Amino acid sequence: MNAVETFRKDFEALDRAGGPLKAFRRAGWEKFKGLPTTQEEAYRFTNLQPLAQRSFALGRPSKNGIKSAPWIAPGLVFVDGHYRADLSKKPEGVEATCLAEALPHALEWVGAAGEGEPFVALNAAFLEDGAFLRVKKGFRLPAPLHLLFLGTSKAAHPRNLYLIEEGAEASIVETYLSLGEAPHLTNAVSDVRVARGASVEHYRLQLEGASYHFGAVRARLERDARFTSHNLACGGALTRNDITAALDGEGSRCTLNGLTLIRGTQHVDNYTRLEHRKPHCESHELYKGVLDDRASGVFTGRIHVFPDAQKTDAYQASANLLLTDTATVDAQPQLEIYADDVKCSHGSTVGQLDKDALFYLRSRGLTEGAARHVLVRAFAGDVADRLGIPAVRQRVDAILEERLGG
Amino acid sequence: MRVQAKHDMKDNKKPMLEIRNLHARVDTKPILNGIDLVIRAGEVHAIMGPNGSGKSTLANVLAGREGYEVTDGNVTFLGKNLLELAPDERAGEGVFLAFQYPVEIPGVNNSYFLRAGLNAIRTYRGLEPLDAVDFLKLAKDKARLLDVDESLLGRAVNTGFSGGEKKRNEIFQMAVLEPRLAVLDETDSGLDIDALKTVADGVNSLRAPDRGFLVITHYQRLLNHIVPDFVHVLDKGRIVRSGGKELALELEEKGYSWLEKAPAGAR
Repeated sequence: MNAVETFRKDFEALDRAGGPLKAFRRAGWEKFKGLPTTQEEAYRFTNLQPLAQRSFALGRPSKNGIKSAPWIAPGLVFVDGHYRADLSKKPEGVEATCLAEALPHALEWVGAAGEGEPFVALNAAFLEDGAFLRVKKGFRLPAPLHLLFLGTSKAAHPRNLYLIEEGAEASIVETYLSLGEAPHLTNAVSDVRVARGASVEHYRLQLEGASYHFGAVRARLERDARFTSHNLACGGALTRNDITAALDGEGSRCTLNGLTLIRGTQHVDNYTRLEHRKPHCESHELYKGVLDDRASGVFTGRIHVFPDAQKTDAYQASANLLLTDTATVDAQPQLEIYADDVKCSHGSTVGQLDKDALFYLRSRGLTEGAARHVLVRAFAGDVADRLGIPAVRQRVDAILEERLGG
Repeated sequence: MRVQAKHDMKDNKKPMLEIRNLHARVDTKPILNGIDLVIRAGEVHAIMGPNGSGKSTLANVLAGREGYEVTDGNVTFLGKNLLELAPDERAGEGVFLAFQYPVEIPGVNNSYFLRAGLNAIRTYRGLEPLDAVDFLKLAKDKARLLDVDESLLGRAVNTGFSGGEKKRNEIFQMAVLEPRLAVLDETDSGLDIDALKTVADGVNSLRAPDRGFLVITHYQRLLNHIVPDFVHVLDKGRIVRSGGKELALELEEKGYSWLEKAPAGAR
């Protein structure tokens, strides 16, 4: 059986079981028209054929032999997309739980798939569980909410829903890891509602092993809201992230930070969309990639300024560092601007380590390896420096150390 | 004691750097066409010459820069074949190049950079690395000695530095790394007279009986401040004349045009 046949079989089984989510799932399945091909503009550089020929059975709730979770910090744990109460530690004084528990009444907030979101549609077809966080008006989450998603060998479709009410603040860290060496499929969707004057820091750490990983983050910002996304992609055999932020209230501000560190034959495709729908909004986007061996990267930065969105201030930059002649990157900004009084700038660079800088460092005594290390760290540094949570920062530093060989 | 002192004197007279019949090219173009030069510890040698005579090529060949191919001859440094060593090993042995164009490295803190260099060299020599506290103390002492603004330490390497700051940073690095042989590649270029004097004072403060200098310059004015023991004139990749410091003054007076008139080796 190939991937889509397996999806169909598993969807039909879920559909037969019925229940209050049946209609929502069906709508998702109908929107899913199979895996996108490279004929489609948005998937031009990401060939999903290797996935198409594989078969990942749907992850089911289980109590498989894991005794403890490989934490960054305690929080909610999901295995193959399903909540594991026995491994989790719920934060106190806040409504943070699994979506399965919040459904079906939370269904009204679960977003359907839009145009050009085949994997969100697939995720909807398998809606069962995920994380649910609601931060009440004016409340400030005292510590970051940590969510750990562990994959074994199955297909996981967690749906995370974060409702950050008026004036509230929250930091959320999603960490994706593999349990063992087996390939698996992760297709996660996080919907973030940032209400008027609220503020959210969202971290997405893709540290899986041999996985196919699809990650969507869809943030909607109301008036004067703030949203920051940190998107770290180090793991997975093939990763496609769709980071979308709709600036849907005047004065809202959004920052998108991305750092891709890959090697071997890893492939990471980051597709970002900023929708400036209202006037006086700001967006600031910085995506960096360090690619070693035969790794390949894709960056697409769409900025869509709607006719109403006068006084938009949008800045986008992407920079990529290729450590070998065989690593590749395709980077493209896509600007659609329908308002006339806006400030939009973008820039994109792809380069190798600066030979003059390498020689300069070596002339001061650093070995070639140490000199390369210093330069790569310097390149990744400005994005890494924005990781405000110490535990996350330490983890990223450790990955950099390990990747660069000390 | 006296015997010991005599012995030291004799040791100091042993060549530190010996360049024999050095030929080198960049791409396919021959630039150095048979350089012979001996530098002993404690000596300051100046190399002067017109543009394109091969001065900077010599500096880069000594430091081991990629793209400079040695086609003949040899270079011995403290008894070792320098040309076989990687750039970082040359630094470990005690060779320091003050760059004509110091490289800007955004995102790398100057202090971090220097400590990494110093500790790499210490490790090469089998010494314990310095911790951050000891290093900072050393760096601050050197900064004070050279009258370098300490704020330079906290900035990214050469990034946004003025021309004078960059050259001063080179001399500062030299002071911290304490090389045995310092090669100064047109350290005076682009400096006004005040900056030139500061840089020269820095170099003079680092002159020592166990340290050699190779000062490469186009103009004589630097040599008013760093007074050399020997002056060599480079032309078309060969040393065409050597002498004492008065040779520099002669060049200042006559310029380099006389090189055109007389055939190489005739003097």
